[in-house]
This record gives sequence, structure tokens and C-alpha cells, in this order.
Amino acid sequence: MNFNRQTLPRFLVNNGLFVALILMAGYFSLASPYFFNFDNFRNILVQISIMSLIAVPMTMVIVSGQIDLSIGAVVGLIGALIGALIIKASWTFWPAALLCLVAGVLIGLFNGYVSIKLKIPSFIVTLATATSFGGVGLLLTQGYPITGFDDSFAFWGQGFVGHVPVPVIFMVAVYAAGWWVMANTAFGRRVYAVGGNEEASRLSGIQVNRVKIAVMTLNSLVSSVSGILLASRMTAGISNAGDPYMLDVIAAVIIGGTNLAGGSGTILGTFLGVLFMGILRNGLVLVGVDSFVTYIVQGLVVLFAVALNTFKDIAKSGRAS
Amino acid sequence: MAPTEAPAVEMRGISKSYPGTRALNGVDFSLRPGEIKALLGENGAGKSTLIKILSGAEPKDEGTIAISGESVRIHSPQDARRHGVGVIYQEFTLVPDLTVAENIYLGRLPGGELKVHWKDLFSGAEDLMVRLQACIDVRRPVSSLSLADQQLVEIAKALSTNARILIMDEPTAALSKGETDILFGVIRRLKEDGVSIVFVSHRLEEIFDIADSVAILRDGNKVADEPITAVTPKSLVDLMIGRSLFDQLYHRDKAAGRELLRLDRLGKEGCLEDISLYCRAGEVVGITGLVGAGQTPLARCLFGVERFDSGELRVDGKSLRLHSPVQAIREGIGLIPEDRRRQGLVLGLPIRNNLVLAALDAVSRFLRVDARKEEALAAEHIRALRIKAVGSGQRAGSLSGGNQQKVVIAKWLVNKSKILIFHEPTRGIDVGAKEEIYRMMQDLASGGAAVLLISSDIQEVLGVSDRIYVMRKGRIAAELDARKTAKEELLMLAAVGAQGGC
Repeated sequence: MNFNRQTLPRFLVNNGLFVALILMAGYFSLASPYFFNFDNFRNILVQISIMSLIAVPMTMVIVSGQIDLSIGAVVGLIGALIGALIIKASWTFWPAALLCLVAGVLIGLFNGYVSIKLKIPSFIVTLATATSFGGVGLLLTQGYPITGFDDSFAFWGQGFVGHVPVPVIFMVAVYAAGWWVMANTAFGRRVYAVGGNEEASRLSGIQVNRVKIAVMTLNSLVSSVSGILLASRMTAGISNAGDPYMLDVIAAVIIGGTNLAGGSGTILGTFLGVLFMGILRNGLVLVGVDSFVTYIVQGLVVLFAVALNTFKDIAKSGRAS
Repeated sequence: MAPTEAPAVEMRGISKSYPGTRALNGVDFSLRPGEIKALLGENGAGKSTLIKILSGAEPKDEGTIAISGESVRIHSPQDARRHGVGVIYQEFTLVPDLTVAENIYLGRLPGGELKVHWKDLFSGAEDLMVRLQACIDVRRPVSSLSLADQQLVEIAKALSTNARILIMDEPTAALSKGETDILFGVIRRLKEDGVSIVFVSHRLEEIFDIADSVAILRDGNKVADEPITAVTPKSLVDLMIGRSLFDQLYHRDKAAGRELLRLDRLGKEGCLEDISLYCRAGEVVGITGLVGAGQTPLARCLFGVERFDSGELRVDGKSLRLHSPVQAIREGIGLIPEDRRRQGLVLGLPIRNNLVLAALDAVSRFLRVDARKEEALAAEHIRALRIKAVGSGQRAGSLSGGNQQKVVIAKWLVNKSKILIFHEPTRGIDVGAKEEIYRMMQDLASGGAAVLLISSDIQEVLGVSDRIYVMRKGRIAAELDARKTAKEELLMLAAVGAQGGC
């Protein structure tokens, strides 16, 4: 199996997701006159862009054998923080944004460090810290949306460069960088190795703890970028605005074929997973399915994706032994 | 014992193959009622496979099993239990927080779905303890018991299913002398009750103490089945070792150079004591001993995985306190770990990624892995070590054991390590690949590396090493020159600690 550079035909064989995506888009094109046009596609990209940023470092986190359940809370917290800084404390944008990014880095370092030093699984650590971060967000906003941003702030979430929405530019940049890191760098190799076999990695001289903390930090950093963009998009700092992101991001990563047990997964797969979620949601609305029903469908899709991955794993290990 | 009596167990023509190795080759094994039979053999001789087949943990490929003269099919541990076969494994299978009685009847608690009949439970357990003449409070949690008492609980658990055949896999491995005596008392009483016992142990004196007869396996074949009175420690050792693979020895003309590794009175609380040894460039030094004599902690201390508490470690003359594998690798040390699948390889990744795992910085320019350099290195080592693979992109997990081990070795060649620690390098590897790995060790030494072979396979240590250290109970028990003084028997006896055997 060629692992680093997946050629397209191989990808089709290995990953029915791409085929499913085409079939689904084909169906929606026939079923709704509004689906297949440029504006709708751009619309889909905008809808998924801010959430999808986090799916990139989350892929790294899950490949490394960890998980981060605090991202939704971090997105909300950062939205509240930038609101508090700009509106309540009258900071200008750049210093406020910089402080938000620093906060993101510190949060990730904390999550990763606590998990390693206290030997608590990242699942539990981030489940706990998510609650606390949510609390900090509530303290900052006192439970109300912070509003009153000016138009220049709205540019990051709502503006365009030419015909391209700004959040979509962020998305493309983060995916390109994430793909490059995972496919080509020594760091990417270490992430795969640590998730594939932590003990063997340690005995091969990989500083396992550093790698694990690094991906957790990257995840929180990108979450805080996402938090700023979301606040800008809504022109409001809302402490629980990121809550749906936690499940959406993890679902997209899993649909994209990343193994929850660690060791395998690609950024390209995650991108398709994100697209799949976006198109599914958008298409179901356009063909007139009740929006509540779309949640049911989404849940089933995630379940199906996990079942498929598990099945592949069993088939693989059966061959290996 | 009347000769007409049907044997308690009669296994005939048992064969079993795993991918790459034939673990058992038409083995016959029988046991009379009330007989205690020792099952002997080196690591990988097929003992555990035979036990697993009799206890239903592994299916056999060929052969028949009869119990008390009746042909039976054993497909699962439940089948075995129904036919009166009980096993006491080396690692205990008790639930620490439950009481002794609950553990004994685990999964078969008296009572209905909703209610446990505690009285029946405790009285049943107490009866068993009386039968074993053990005074253990059956209401205590198992975690509060000594190892020896836990062993007795395991025996009681086996007996509670009316086992007539007990398999004991190294039951004394964790016991002191006194505890062993108590256990042997229990075993003798069981024998009087007509229970048959298969007793696996490496300790020869115990075998002469308790067994009625002894069966010896070697490379999957039964090579002896004798009454204990017909054998001596020396003849047992001879039979166990055999002389297949090592008729031709692997020694080179020794041209030992600089001393690359020296340990001076190295100690580690509870497992290593006063270990002094050295290894020069161009030398293969063997370290052997029974399983659990301290080889694993020694290997881990030498590679910085664990720290030693006292003594000194010198690498190429430089005194070091190793605190991590990263540091050990930087000093030129490479470890081929004992469990290659769990510790040596990332099975889900391709060969080439595994090969450069310890040398990622060396094949990277700035941040980027130089794919061409990586591929060239992979191709070179696949060719040089004759790794049988479709290509460098094949997943390490889909290689055979021998080829997997070659990938682990190649990882350190890529890294240009000059001190190589091979820890049980040929465990579970077929004969052909073993031979290649021995050659590799010789070539590495000839190329100026210091090679340390830590292995409980005495035959291989003798065949490959220039000098040998024998470990016993965390200490160096003997140092021998492989070509002058060392005989296999001597080595084995030093490891076992038996006296006057030859």
C-alpha cells in the first residue's frame, strides 16, 4: 500500500468515500434545481470552512492516538475572549488576536502536558477541561453575546478577496499546510509512528511525549483561529458558539477514514469527510428534508463510517497475522 | 498402577503449524492416572503449543486426543474443562478485588440470576481448601494473598470443575523455596487422589524432586519420554539442546578492538545486582540465563529505557548516565527488542518508514523527509539483508517474522549504530531466517561493531558468541570463553544453579 502519496485510482479502491461523495452530489443535482451551481458550492464551502479548519490538526491528534474534546469550548472561549478584549477593553484587533492565539497555544500545552504527566487519557483530560473552558467563556461574556464589533472585524469571517470568501482562503491554506506536514515532513512521520506503536517509537528514539503535546497544541491553536473567524462571522462573541464543532469535527475526521485507535489517516481523507458532511447537510435541506431529520441521517452516516473502518481493520489484521 | 488401566490422557500424532514455523510435528503424549509428568524443552520447542492444544486454547492441525480411553474433541477451554482438564497458567487469571471463593467459582456462582447463595459458595470453597490442606480464608480478597496462596487459589479453581488432569505451566517461577515445598505437598496429595499432572518447569532439581516421568520436546518433536529414574540432569540437558542448527559454528577469527561498552557493578533495586561486563569492537558477547534472570531489565538499562541505581556504564570509554533511548541512540547504541511486533516495529507503516524511524533527522533536509534518499536507503537494505518483500512500500505487519526482524536490524544499520544489543532476536523465527540473523551478527562484529546477544536460547548463545556471561537471579553467575571452556551442559547448569549434575 502506497502510504504517503496516494494515487487517485488507489484512493478509489481504498476509500469508497470519494465514490459516495460523487454519487450523493449527483443525486442532489437531479433532485434539486438549486444544488448544482457555483453560488451553492461556494455557499457549502463557506458553511464548512470555519469548522473544517480544526479537522486538520484533529486528524493529527487522532492519528497520534489521542483525542481532543475541548475544541468546541475553545472556539467559544476565544470568541468570548476577543469580544471582551475588543469591545469591553477597547483593544485593537491585532494585539487582541495575538493574545487569543497565545491563549490557544497555552490551552493545548496544558491539555497535552496534563495528559502525559498525570497519565490520564486525553479523552478524559479534554472532557474535563472543556467544561472549565466553557466556564471561563461564560465568565467573560456573563452569558450574553458580546456585540458591537465594527465592519473591519467582520472582514475575517464575512469578507471576500476577489470572489473568494476569506474563511475559504483560511481553509485552503490550512489544508495545504496540513497535507504537506503529514505527507512530507519528519514531524508527520513521527505522528504516524507514535499513533501506530508508541512503544516501538520510543525505542526508536522518537520523543513521544513531545510529539503528543505538539499535536494537541496545534489543535488548540487552530481552534483559536477558528474561534476568531466564527466571532467575526457572527459579529458577536458567544461563549457556546463552538459547541456543535466538537462532534462535527470528530465526525468529519472519522468519515474521512482516520482510525480512532491511531496510526492511520490522511488530510485528504479528512477533507473529503468535511465535504461529505457539508454536501449532505446542504443537499438534504435543498431537497426539502426536515432539518431535524438531517441530524438523524448525519448520525447514521458517522456510525456507518466507523463500522466500515473497523471492518477494514479486521480484514487487515487478519491478513497480517 | 495396573498396565491395563486406560491412560488419563492419550495424545497421538499432534501437529500444529504457525505461519513460517512448524510448532509440533506428530507428537505423542500420554499420562497415566495419578502420574506427574514433567514436560521439558527449550523456548520454542513446542511445550506451550502442546499445552494450549490440550487445554483448548489453540486448535490442532492433526492428531487425536483421548481422555480416560475415550476419544474427545477439544475446541475451546470450555470443552477441556468439561473433560476434566484444568490449567494453571504462569500469569494468574484471578480478579484481585473479588474474594477467594468468588474467584474459585467465577462464572459459576451458586444461585440464580439475581441471587448468589453465599453460604454454598463459601462452604464449597472451604471444602476445596480442606482438600488442599491450605489454610486460606476464602472470604478475603485475592489481592491480600501472597503469590503462593494465589497459586493455591488457582489450583482450587481448577479442582472445583472436577479436573482430573492438571496442567501447570511453570508454577514455581514466582515462588520461594518454602512456598515451592508447600505447593509440592499439595501436588503429592492430588496425585494420591488420582489426579494426573503435567508439570512444566525449567528447574531441573524440582523435576527430580516431584516428577514420576519426563517428556522432552525439541523443535516440535518429542525426543524422549522416560521414567525419572532413567535420566540424569546431564542426559536431560543433552536431550533438550540437541545438535541440529549448530553443528556448524559461527565463530570468526577474532580481532577484537577497542572496548566499546563496559558495565561496572551495575545495580537496580529488585532485579539487577553487581553486574560487571564488557564488550569490545569486533566481539559478539552472549548473555544468557533462564527466563526472568534479569536479562530484560539489563537490556532496558543499557538502552536508557529504565535507569540503574548504582554502578557505572561506560560507552567508548565515556561514563554515562543514560536516561532515555534518544540519548542511547545518540551514543551509538541500538536495541533489537525482545518483542519485535510490540516494541520493534510500527506494523501499520511501510518497511521504508520503519527503516528510517531512528534516523528521521538524518534523511530530512530542513523539515522535509528526502523521499529519494529514503527510498535509496530502503532499497539498499532490503537488498543487503535479503528482506523478502514486494517492495519498500509493503506494510511491516504483513512480513514474516524473520523478515520483520531484519527490518528491525536494518533500522540500526541505517542509523550506523556501533553497539548493537540483540534481545531474544530469533524468538518465533524459522530456522532459515535464524541462520541469516546469526550471520548478520557476525558480519556486524567483523565490521567493527560491538554485538551483545541477550538470549535464553543457550544453543544459539554458544553457537554465535565469542564470550558468554551467564545470569542467575539478577547477577552474573559465570563468565566463559565460548571456544575454550564452555560446553552447553556447563552453561545450562550454571543458569539452572544445579550442583553435581555432571
